[in-house]
Parts: sequence; C-alpha cells; structure tokens
Amino acid sequence: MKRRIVGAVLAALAAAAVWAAVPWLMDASQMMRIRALMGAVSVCVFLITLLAIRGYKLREKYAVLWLATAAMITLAAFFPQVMDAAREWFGMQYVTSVVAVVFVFLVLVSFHFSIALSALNDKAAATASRCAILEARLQELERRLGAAGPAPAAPPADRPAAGR
Amino acid sequence: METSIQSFLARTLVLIPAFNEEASLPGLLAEVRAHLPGAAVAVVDDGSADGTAAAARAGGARVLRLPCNLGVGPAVQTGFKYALESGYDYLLRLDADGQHPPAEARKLIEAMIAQPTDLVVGTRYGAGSTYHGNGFRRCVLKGLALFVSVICRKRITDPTSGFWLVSRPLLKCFAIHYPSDYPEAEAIALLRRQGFSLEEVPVAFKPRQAGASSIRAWGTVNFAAKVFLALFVDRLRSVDPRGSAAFIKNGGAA
Repeated sequence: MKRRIVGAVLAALAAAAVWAAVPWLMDASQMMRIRALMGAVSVCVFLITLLAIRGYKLREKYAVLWLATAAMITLAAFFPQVMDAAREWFGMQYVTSVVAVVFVFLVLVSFHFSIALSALNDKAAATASRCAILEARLQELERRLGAAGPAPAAPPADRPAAGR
Repeated sequence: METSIQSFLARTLVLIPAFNEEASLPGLLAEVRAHLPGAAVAVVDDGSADGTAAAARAGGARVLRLPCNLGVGPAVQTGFKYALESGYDYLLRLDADGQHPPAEARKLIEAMIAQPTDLVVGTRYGAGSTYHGNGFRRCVLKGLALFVSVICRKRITDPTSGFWLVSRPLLKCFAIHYPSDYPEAEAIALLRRQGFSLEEVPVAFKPRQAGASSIRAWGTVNFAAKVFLALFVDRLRSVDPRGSAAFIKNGGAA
C-alpha cells in the first residue's frame, strides 16, 4: 500500500514536471530543447540502471559502465562548454565528432559485455557438465544400493526440454 | 590377441554423445554389446527433446544427461571427465548416428595394443577407402587435412573424424580444455602442441542411419572459416603447462 502511494506521488510529480516543461520548451530555442531531451535521457538512464541494480537484475560491476554513460550525457546536457572543450582538446572541427567518440565508447561497452557473456557461457557449460556427471554417479550408486537393500526413491521424471 | 582385447575392453568406456538420436541408439547399442563385450557404455544426452535418454537406458548404457544443449564439444568433454573420475584407462568415442561401426573399433583397439599411443583416430580416407563425400565438402576437408598436417608436422588424413580411442593421460589434458564448436581438428592440433602422440587407422565408415549431419552443405564454408580461425588463434596461445604430456605423465595432475 505504502509503495503504491509513493509510486502515485512520484508519477504525479513527473507529470507535473512535464506539464510545466511543455510551455517552456515551446518558447525555448532549439539548442535548449536538445539539451532538455539529453537531460531527460540521462535521468532515465540513471533511474533505469539504479532500478535494475535494486531489483538484482544488474550487477554493480556491470552497472558502473552504464552510470558512467549517464554521467557523460548529463555533463554534456547541463555543461555544453565541456563538449566544446573536449572538441578543442581533441582538435576536432565539430561537436558532432565528439558524438562519434562517445559512440566508440558505447561499442567498447558492448564488447565488454560480449566477453562477459563468453565467460558466462563457459561457466554454464562447466556447471551443466558437472551436474550430468554427478547425476550419472548418483544413479549408479542408487542402483548398487538398490541391489543391496530396500529400493531407493524413483529417479526423477524426464524434465521438460528446457533451456532452448 | 583375443584375451588382451577382452582385458582392454574391461578398462574401456565407450562414449556416445547424442542429440535427438532416439531412432538410431537402440541399433547402435546392440551392435556395441555384440562387438565390444565387457566394455561399459555411457551416452551423453546433450539436452535432447526426444527420448534419447530413455533409449540409452533401455539399451543398457549409463546416461549422462546434460540439462540443456551445450554442443558436441562440451558433451564429449563431459564424457571425458566422467571416464576419468570413474577410473577408466581408455575411452572409445562413437557417433550416435551409427557412422562409426563398433565392429571397426576393434582395429583401433588392436592398433593401441600393438603400439601404445595417446590417441588412435579412425580415418575414413585410408587405403581401400569407400567413403565419398560431395565434391566441395571433400575439397574443404582435404584442405583442412593438409593445414592440420602442416601445423602438426605429421600426416593427418581425417582431422574431422570423431572415431577416437583416447588414453587416460590425454583424457586428463582434455578435461582441462577441450574446444567447443567443431572440436576434432582443433583438439588434434592442441594435443600435438601439448606433446601427445596420435596414430591414424583406416576404418570403414557407414552412411548415417538417421538424423542429419551437423555440418551441412552451405555450412561447409562457415565450418571451414571457424575451424581455420580456431586453429590460427590456437597457435597464438601459449601451451597450458597443466595440460602438457610431460606434466601429466610425471604424475602432475592428481
């Protein structure tokens, strides 16, 4: 019940913010609108990342990269002079080139995840393999025990074809 | 010779990796019992959706049932680990589709008894071969054989054959690392680098009984690309000392 009230209040606040922002955005310059959009995106990335960590859907060690991404977007939205400084620093002609650099950063993030996924794949295979060996040895043991004493419990029924 | 084969079979595990091979297993298991009496048989059910595990059990085999489909490499490696833990000295690998006739396995065993080595491979391209693949695929396999021969510095005629008789020291090596996708060619290159030996013995393969080959016509190109890449990358890796023949044969791996 308490969670629902908090949720409703947060939703109302968000709606009010959007309601207040719409007329201001209508009058604002194009640059301001882009910055507002980027600010909203960065807030979303932050929120989604934090919610995912909170719900045990995302490990902190992977979340750091996404939080860094959100921080970069926030920085660019609220302090555009940072982007200009970066552009000058790298000797680039246009701010859009900085976006290309950011894109490369995101590609690296996804590469990092491919590597994490491969490691996970190996671990899952090793675990499944161990399971199969232990099950076979358990059945062997049950068979021997069954020959010696009272009948052991029935082997587990065939599982539905899972994992595919 | 016959008594030595009997005692050899008592120390051997016959390993059959199977994925949806309910149809061909009963016949194959009956053949194994007839031609390889006294050998224990284990079927690795690689997450099949049909009654593979039940068919294997009905045929008197032990079943290693993987909870999901892992592919041929991890399935075979599971069998290797099981053979090691159960104390077998040799492992004979047969394909579940019936391509590797158990009767022919005796040639592998005789070769191993006559001249002990770490791995005996049944090759379909030996003298008196009656095997005919389609033209393009045969070409690719020839190229692969040539490449593997060069990097192994030994003539290998059939690097994709899975008809293997593996000795215990090599099982220890493969328990640490065994390639996953199209494992045989890569495994041969790997074992040579680790200092193990292998011999090829010509055998007659049978056409597939049921199911379809894991390497299909168009897939040949994909297969070749992946295997060549894997073989190339393997050369860039350093040898894992825990898996080397010298380390294992000196009692290094418990």
